[in-house]
Amino acid sequence: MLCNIPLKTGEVLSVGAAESQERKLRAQGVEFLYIPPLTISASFGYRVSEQAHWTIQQNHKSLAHFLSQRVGYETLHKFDWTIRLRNISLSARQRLSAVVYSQCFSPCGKFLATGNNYGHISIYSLPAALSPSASEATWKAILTFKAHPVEIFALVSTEQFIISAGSGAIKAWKWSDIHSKTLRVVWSLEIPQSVTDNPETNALVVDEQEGSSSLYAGCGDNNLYQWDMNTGDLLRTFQGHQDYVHCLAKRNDSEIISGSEDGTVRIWDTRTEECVHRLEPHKIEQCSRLQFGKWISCVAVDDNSDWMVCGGGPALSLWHLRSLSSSTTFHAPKVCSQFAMFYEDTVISGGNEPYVSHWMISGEQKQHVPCSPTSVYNVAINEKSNNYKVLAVAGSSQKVDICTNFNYKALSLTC
Amino acid sequence: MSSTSKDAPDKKRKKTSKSDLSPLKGSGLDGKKIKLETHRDSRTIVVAHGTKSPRQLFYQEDEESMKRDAKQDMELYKAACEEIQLMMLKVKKMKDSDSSDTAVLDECRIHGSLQFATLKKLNRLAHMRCKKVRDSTHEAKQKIDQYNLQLQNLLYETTHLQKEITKCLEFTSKDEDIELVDVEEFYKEAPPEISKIEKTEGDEHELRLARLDWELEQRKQLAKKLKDALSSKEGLSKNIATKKENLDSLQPKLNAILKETKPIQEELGMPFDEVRQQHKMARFLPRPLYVLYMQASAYHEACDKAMSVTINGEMEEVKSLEPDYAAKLLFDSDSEPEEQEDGKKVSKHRRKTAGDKLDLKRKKLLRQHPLTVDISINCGDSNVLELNFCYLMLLEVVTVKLKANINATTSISGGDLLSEDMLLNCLYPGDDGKTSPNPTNGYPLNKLGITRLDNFSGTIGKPYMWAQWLSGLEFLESEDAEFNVNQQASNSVSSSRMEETLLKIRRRVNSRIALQKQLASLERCSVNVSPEHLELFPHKVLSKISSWKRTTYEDFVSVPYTEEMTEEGLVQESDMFFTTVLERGSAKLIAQVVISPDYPNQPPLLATQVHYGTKRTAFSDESIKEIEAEVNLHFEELTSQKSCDQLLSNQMQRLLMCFDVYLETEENNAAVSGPKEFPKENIYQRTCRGRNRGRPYFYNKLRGYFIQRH
Repeated sequence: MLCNIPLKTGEVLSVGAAESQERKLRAQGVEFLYIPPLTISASFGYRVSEQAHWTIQQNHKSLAHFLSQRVGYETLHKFDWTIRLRNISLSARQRLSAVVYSQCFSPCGKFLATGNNYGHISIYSLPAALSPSASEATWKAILTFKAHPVEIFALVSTEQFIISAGSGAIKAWKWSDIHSKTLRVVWSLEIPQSVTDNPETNALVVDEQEGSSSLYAGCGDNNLYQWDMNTGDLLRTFQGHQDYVHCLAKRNDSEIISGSEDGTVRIWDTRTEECVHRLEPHKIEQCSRLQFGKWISCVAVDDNSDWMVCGGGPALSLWHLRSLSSSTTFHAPKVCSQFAMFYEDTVISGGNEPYVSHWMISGEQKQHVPCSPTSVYNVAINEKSNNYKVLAVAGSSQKVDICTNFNYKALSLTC
Repeated sequence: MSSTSKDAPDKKRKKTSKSDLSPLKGSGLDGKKIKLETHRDSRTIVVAHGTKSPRQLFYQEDEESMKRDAKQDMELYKAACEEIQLMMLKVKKMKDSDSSDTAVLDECRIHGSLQFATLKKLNRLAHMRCKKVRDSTHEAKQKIDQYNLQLQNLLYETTHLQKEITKCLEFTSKDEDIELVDVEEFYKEAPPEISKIEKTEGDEHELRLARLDWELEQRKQLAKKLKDALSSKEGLSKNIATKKENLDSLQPKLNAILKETKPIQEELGMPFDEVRQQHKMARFLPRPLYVLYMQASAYHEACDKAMSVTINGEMEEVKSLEPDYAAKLLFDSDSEPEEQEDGKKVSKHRRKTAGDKLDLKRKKLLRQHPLTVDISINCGDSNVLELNFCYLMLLEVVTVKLKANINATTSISGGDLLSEDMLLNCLYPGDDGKTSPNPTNGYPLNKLGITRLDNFSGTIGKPYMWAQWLSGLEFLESEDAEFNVNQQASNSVSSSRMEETLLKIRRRVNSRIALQKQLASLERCSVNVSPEHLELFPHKVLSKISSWKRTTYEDFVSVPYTEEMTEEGLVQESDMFFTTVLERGSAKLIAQVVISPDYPNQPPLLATQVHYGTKRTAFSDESIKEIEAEVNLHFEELTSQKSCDQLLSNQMQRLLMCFDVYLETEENNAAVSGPKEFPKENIYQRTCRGRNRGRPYFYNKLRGYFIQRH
């Protein structure tokens, strides 16, 4: 149910828009602003352009008061309280169980895009959030839109596009559109339908080589797919996993590594579609943790393509790729890693605890940084801009933590 | 002297002749001397002619006196006097000298006597002349008088004429007062035969005449019009009068009919008279209750036969009520009432304690209007809700007392759900009826130490917002001071709210009854799922409810895993709190359930904790967070289109189902060999999916297996 309450000329207040309607309105170029509860009256200080709609998410008592002040009970009465309040409390409930699975920085390094479990992509402006005059209001998303029916598990950024994947098709959005605030799907790729219904896409990797660029996706139907990004053609399908693919990492121009729920890490030759190597960390004694399962939910490869880190049910461990042997295990007995990456000489990882861990290659824990998400799904470092070189932590919380110094949380972005 | 002496002989002679004659005249002698004297000039005295008659003589003398000159006569008179003196002197001399010349003496004597005769005549003449002069003077005077009179007459006549002239000049003609149309307009409008431009252009007088003509013409027309209008008016009024007569004659007929039909009314159960009685009473209602009564009965007539509206109260009390009661009271409580009252009723008040006084004042402040409007609403299944609306005259708010006649199963944990206190709580969001909705009441209430009106709800009822709305009163939240104007109760406010509020009340009652039923069954540790929702759940749900208890807000807040919900503002103190325990085997799930007064519009909210080996909550286990989301977020599909009355039961059933799924898929994750405590009783397409390894909590009713939402 969408309620549009005319305020002053040019102002329209839209409360609790249903998602389908919201999408329609967005397609018409209607702008949505999320007004925080505390700054609600102040928010009226700025005039929005004509046809702008405001979605208010806040607790209903102050909303009722606020609305009565602005439009009077008479107007207010025309709208069904029941539906509206249900939607308002629904959005509060949604915030409660929001999970941000994925994030990526824009090529200019000024924007951060995040994707959550409701299929929303939120765009944050780093200059605004990091400016000296920043307040809670500027830590809000400058733009939020519904991109997928349910979860967005992966977001990658290219020079032009934000590519999002999760439930449903893989979709590409233009970075340049965020300024006009109307985003349209530029192109989309359907996952081939197989035995599994609506396979999800858990991981995306972009491989840009001279002359061609291709997109790899690790999907819920146990397969890896490779598309030509210029033509949109499905180039290859990598089959072999016994369960769905959790994560992907590119080793070099011709190899791609995948981690899967079936407990294996496979190295594929991208030219032949063949699985060249198969690792099973749960069978290695030092990694094996049968009480958590054998699933591998993260893999990462270092810049020189010599080292790989993987984890999940089995403990997070460092592997030497040439010898295909495990060298170090990172000791975190109660944590199932869900994300890992190489950064300079360290490995940064996150798992089902409200901390981000920084490890030395040798296996020592360098930092154990507390963060807002109770479970960390993604850590991203903005290396594209020196001014805004931050580390962003996303996970099972509506908040995305931003660390300017990687050792502590500076602020939290909310949608 | 010498000259006089020279003239003297002449004079003497004359005199002598005269005096000579005069005795003769008397003696009747001939008139030779007189004749002699006649040819003398006027200086000589005419001696009467012996031949004339005495009458003639008289007139002659008269004429003579006229002819003669008075001055000459005076000379004559002087000369005669001198002569006499001379004679006298001569005689004396002679006597002295003793010359007794008698002749001379005689002559002197005669001469002297003559002189006397002359004197005599002269005297006579003088008298005559004097008389004549007097006469002529008199005559002249008379003439002058006459002329004077004539002059006066003439003068009078001239002034009169002048007056007449000015009068004429000052005379104002009637036409000057007449307001004429402008000349330009006149030329424009008047027909040429009246305006006659060529004639009137230069001549002001003609122009005026023409304009007057035109005015006359116009006035004639208007007069004609007036006459017409008057006649038509008369016709109309005649018409009206006849019609009125007609109508008047109807009244007795109608009365008769009314009388006749009374038994029929009673027979058919159409209480027109009672309605009329009620309407009569309605006139004495205070404005807000009147609005309420009017709108409610209108709504009853038009849309809702399952409710009834009546006015109750003592008419006598109303009539005895002072019209300015409220104003007076307000004044009393504002000024120093103690002093005034003490002065009047010393003995009575001194005995009272301060507390009694305060109570008395409070009672006064909360005094109700003697008339109340009762609305009884039938909510189906012989559940009747009686709403008793009172008007607090001083606070200017409407309060509601509630009486519920509801047949419903009772439950221990939800015993107060249908209580008069709780039933209509928060019918509109935040409307708990605890404080006065009229922001201007703050001061008088605070003064008497009343902070919450709900302490008095037993006597005065509760001032819910919707009660104000139904009565056409509209107060805004106390924060916006600019709107704090106590407006006149308006019908539009009331009518716009009536339907919605009644609907809400009915829904509230029905959903409370349904909730009561559900709570009763939950207390017996069973979840009743209505047939229409059965397909949402698998046949076999192995987890069971082992307890269901009421808790309080404090209890809820003290549980650590509810913190985030409280922070998000999803939980209010006015909500109802329950805690329940689900069990399956060695595993236990404890859920805190929050039910809003606005249930089911505001769906219940659950926070859970699982005891299975370790204690797990949404913070430590993503899967539990998913269970909570499944129950708290996806409630829409648990409500059917018609009603959402089974919402709580359905949510509980879903919680049980999810707990099953959680336990069964959890076991699988651990991949431990050996006997499983919870074998897979259900079919799962994929036990986990996606980056979050989400559990298949969603039951696909068509295919009969569990999948993840996507």
